[in-house]
Amino acid sequence: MKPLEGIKVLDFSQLHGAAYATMLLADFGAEIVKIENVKGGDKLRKLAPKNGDYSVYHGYLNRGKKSIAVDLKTDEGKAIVKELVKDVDVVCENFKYGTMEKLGLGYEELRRINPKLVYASLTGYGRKGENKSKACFDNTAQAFSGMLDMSGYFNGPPITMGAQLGNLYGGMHLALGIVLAVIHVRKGGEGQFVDVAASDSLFAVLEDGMVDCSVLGHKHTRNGNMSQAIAPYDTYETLDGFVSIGVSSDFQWEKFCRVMGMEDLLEDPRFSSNAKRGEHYLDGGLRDRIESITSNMKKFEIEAMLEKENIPCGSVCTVLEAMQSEQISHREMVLTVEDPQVGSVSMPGIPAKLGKTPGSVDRGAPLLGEDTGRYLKKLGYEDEEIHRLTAQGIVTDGEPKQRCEEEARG
Amino acid sequence: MKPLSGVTVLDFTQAFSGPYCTLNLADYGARVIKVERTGTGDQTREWMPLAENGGSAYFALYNRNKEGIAVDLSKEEGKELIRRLVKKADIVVNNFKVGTMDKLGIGYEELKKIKPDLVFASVTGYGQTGPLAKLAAYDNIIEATCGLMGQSGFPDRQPVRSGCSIGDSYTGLMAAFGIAAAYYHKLMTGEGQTVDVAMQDSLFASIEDAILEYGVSGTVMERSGNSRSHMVAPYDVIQCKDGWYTVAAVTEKGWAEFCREADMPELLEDPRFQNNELRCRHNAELIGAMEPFFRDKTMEELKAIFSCENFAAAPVIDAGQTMREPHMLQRDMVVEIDDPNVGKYKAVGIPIKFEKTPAEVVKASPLLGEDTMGILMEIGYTEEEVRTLAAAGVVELAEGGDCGR
Repeated sequence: MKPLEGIKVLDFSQLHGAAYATMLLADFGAEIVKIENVKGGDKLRKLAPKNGDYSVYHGYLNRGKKSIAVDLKTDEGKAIVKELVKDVDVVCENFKYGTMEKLGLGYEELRRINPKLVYASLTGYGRKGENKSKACFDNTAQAFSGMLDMSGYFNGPPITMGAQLGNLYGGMHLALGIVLAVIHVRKGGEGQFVDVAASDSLFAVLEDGMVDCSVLGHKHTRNGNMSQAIAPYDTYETLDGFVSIGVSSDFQWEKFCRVMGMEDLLEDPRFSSNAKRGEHYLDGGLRDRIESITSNMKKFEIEAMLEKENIPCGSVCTVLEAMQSEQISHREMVLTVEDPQVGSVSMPGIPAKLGKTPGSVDRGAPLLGEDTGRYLKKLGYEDEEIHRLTAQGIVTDGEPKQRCEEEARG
Repeated sequence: MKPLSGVTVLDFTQAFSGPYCTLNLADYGARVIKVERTGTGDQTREWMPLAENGGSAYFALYNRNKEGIAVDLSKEEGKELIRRLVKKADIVVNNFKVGTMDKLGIGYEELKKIKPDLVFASVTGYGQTGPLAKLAAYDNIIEATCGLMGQSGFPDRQPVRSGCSIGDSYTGLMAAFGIAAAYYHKLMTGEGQTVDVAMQDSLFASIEDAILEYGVSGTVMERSGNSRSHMVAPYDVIQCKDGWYTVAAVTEKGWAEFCREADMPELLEDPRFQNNELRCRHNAELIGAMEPFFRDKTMEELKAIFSCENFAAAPVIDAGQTMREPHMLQRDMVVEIDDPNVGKYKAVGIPIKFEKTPAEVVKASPLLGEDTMGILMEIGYTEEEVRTLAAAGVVELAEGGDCGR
């Protein structure tokens, strides 16, 4: 048994963000039925990284989900969706503001059909406020939230991190919001609209970047990999890459100086407390001194040396080094999933580890319309009708076996 | 009534990851009782920035909506008090080093004897299991080891750490989600369990495309600065007259719109830029061709030029400017809080907007031990008993705190 078994989601999400939210729900047992357009489906199906023509990114974000392909611009297509809405707990989508309304499938319409419905939306700027209709991508959400300004090189350009933070934080907040809203319904409460914006989600985690402005009235300077609370707390060059180190307490500072062979610094009044080390970190030459030592060693050597003293330290790993690390494999953070289209895929595992009812990935991503026929039959459609709808292009019924054979024939 | 109304959380967390997790329970209605050590409390009570009165705004920001008790967990009476409190709790959260709660005699095995359906969550650097489980970690260590830093920054320059400890906040959020899933299960079946969330696991999972690319082609992706031309183009951060500007014009409609609004019809005609695949292949030339348009214009000028109907663009602004954006104010994303630790200050609003059961800031962060008296009396201690415990240093009462709720 998985913890979210029994929660049913009709999922219009495309690309990232909301699709990430419903992936988390699927990992933990919710039934996620994707509604895709008949002409090619989710746009992510075409995006890199790919195996041949098929997107492994799609394979990852849609693992464990089902797919129905429907032309939402036709009345019969809309009728199918409205039938499906009667029996779900949640509708989830990440279209541009107003898209579902234009299709006649907006919240007001759907709640009339299912008053207990939780309708969850993720957009770049949210459903309220003057930017609500503007296009927003991950990097613009990061910029608008203030987060991008905080990350990057000292006196240099801001840097978008190598992860899609707007989508990930937006998706996490959306997934949390959906579970909370369903809890409320299960306790006898009402269904409702849940509005999450990627830019709000990032703004919520700016830490001292926000309160510096709010309380001190000054801007938080981009400071490379340093911290304003702790020193030394930085990333240093080594013979074969980079290493991050963090030393805060005086106790650790003493151990650190001894193991690094910098005992003379223990006598130096400029470095006698965390605050003073921060003050003199650059001007007093502390950074240079540390790097003069690290740059003559290999990163994993330094890591092993400091770990022995339990001084927080870690090599800047390539993705391969991280994937091959013992800890990551012990935690089952790389899963191999059989996907019907892309074959065997290595993908990120499940970070939240539940003791009794853990999440799991039981199947790969669906083929486009793989489950159309089955769900239409459940709704009472006869075979003949399904054939007609398929012939008219209103639905795509892609039974996996048939489809693979078609593809094999070219 | 809020989604988590009636749910009680006993919160042993400090610093950022754990408190951000429990903030996401408190904001949406859970009663979060923060258990702090006597004397100093949560270490962030001393973290910058400090308000005029010396209180930490950092602490205030991520501990609103929580109640606070101060207990010496090394004393038997302190442990006894926790065992009595757990009977009332649905969820326990901690971010101590692995094994600390067990050593204190209030680990999961112990507490589930008292409260069998308890959800017991832990947030750590590397997780409760595995060879690195016991190691200490900071955000910058985890961002390094999980592979994220290796993917961030320009290929010929240093790897970059996020400016705001995403290893902490993202993991806190992941833990809140795990707790919500476990609580849902408890609600439906009556069964409790552990939730084990690690910073390294959570952030490792975030470098999706690098993991997938390696899995499918055996290629280790390089850092790519602010471009993502292995997937889409143009997608970048471009220098303008007075700062930096983000742009993402990756659909055909969006690209055409950008070329029209930037008055660069020649780019739209250029055979190198005819579709996303071609633009990705010629990304360096593409961005090079776009740069002159940005270079002599200010952020304000660019904002006025771009409609952002089909392509996205936004100036890189600092958190202070974000706080003044009318859009953010219209979304109630900035709230003023009168906080006993720091006075009146502006804090971040609520990111998940529930239509019918909206979250709100109902109280500011607690003074150290502010609710000790009230909460202990709720579980049957008399005022005199509490004063005796306080005199013995088992608990601490906030001076001028709110006695008896």
